Amino acid sequence: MSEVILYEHEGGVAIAIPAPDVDIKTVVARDIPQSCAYKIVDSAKLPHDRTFRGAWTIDCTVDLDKAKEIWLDKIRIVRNERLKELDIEWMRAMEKGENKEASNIAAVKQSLRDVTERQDIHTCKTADSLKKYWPQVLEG
Amino acid sequence: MAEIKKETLKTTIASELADNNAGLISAEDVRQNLIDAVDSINYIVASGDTENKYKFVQNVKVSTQNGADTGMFITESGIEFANGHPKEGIQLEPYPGAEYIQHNDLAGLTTGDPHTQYLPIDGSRAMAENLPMASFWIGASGTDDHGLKFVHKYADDPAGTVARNDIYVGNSGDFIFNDNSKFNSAQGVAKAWVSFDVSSATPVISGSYNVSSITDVDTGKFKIYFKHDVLGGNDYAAVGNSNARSTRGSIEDFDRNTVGMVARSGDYGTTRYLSYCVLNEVGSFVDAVRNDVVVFGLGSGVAMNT
Repeated sequence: MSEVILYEHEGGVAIAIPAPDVDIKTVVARDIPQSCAYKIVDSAKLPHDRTFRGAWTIDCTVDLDKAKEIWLDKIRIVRNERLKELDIEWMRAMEKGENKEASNIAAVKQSLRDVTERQDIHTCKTADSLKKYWPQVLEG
Repeated sequence: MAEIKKETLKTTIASELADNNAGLISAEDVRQNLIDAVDSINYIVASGDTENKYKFVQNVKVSTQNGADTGMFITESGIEFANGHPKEGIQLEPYPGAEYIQHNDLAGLTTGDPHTQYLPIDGSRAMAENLPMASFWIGASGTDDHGLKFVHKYADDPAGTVARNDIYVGNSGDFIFNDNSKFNSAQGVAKAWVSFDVSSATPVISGSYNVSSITDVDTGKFKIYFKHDVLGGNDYAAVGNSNARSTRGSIEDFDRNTVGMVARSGDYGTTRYLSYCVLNEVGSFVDAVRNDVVVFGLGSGVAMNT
C-alpha cells in the first residue's frame, strides 16, 4: 500500500495523497499547512469503510460520537423522504374521512420525527454496530 | 675540365702518383690530379649515387652571412623526401608557410567527404554525435528571437545535479502541421488534470499532470493541490465531472450531481489548491469512483494573449 499524510483539519482529519510522480516529502513541505502536526501512515491502516469518513481521527480510528451524528444525518435524509410520502397518505385519508387511518399515519410521522432522538443508538459501541442501527419506522 | 667519378679519380691518383722511387712523377702530374679533384667535386657530390654509397651521414647546415641572401639551398628541379610516396614525396613548389596557404587553393575540396568533423549542408551525411547549441537560435534567418533555442536550466534542482533543457520558440513562430493546423501558444493547453477514484477507503489517483496531491477532507470533499508555480493566479478555468457513485459497471452508473469547485487558494510562490466537492440530488456529499478535473489557465509568469 502507499503512504499518506494525516493532519487535523477543521475539526476533522484530512488525508493528503501524493500524486504518483511526487515524493511524499515534497507534499509534506508544500501541501500541508505550516506548523500543522501531521502523521505519515500506510494507507492500509486507515478505516476500510468510508461511511463514517468525517469521524476519522488522526490515530486512524473512528470517533463514535461523530459517527453517530453522521449516521443520524443519513437517517434524517431517509426520514424526510418518508415524511413526504406519509404527508400525502395522511391528506388522502383526511379527504376520505378516514380519521382512524389519518391518526395512525400521524402517529408514524411522530415516530419518524422522534427517530433522531432515540436513545437506543447509544447502545452501539462500534462503527460496525452503528451501521446496523436502522429503526423499523424508517422502512416504508 | 675533367669531371671524373670518385673511384676513377682515386684510381688515377693511385696510379699516377705512386711512390716516386724512380723520380718519374712531375709537378704537372700532381697539379693535374689536383685540378681533376677540384673539377670533380660537384660531379661526385651530384653523382646520383648518394642514395647508397656517398650519402651525407651528418647534418648539413647552411647559413647566411651578414643578412645577405646567401647560404641557401637553391633548387631548380625539386626536393624529394625519401619517406614520401613515389609521387607525393617530391616537392616541386616551395612551401610558403601555413599563414600563406589559402584554404580554397587546396586540392580535393569537393571530393568525397573531406571534412567529417563538419555537418554537410547538403544533408549527405547525418550527424554522428549530439549537437550542443548553447543558447543560440536556430532558424531560417539566423537572427535573435526567431526560430528555436535551447536553454540549459537547473530550475527544478537548485543543487544543479539534474540538467534540463528548455526549448524556446521565437517571435511570430507557430508550430504548423501537415494539415495546416497551427499551434501558436501553450495557453490553449491544459495546465493540469487529474482523475481519481474514491470507491475504496483511500482515494486513488489514477492519472494526473501537474498535480502534487489530493487532500481527502471529508466525504465527497477534496482539495486538489497543484505543483509549484503551475498557475499564475487563482482565476483559471476548471472543469470537473463525477458519476457520484462508487460503482462503474455500466454506462448508466451515475447519479445526477453537482461538482463544486469554488475555493481556490494560493499566491505566487506558494501552493495553490482547488476545492472539489460532489453533491448529489438529495443534498448529500458523496464519494465517487469517477472524479475528473481539467484546468486551463495562465501559467506562472505568463501574460495573457491580447
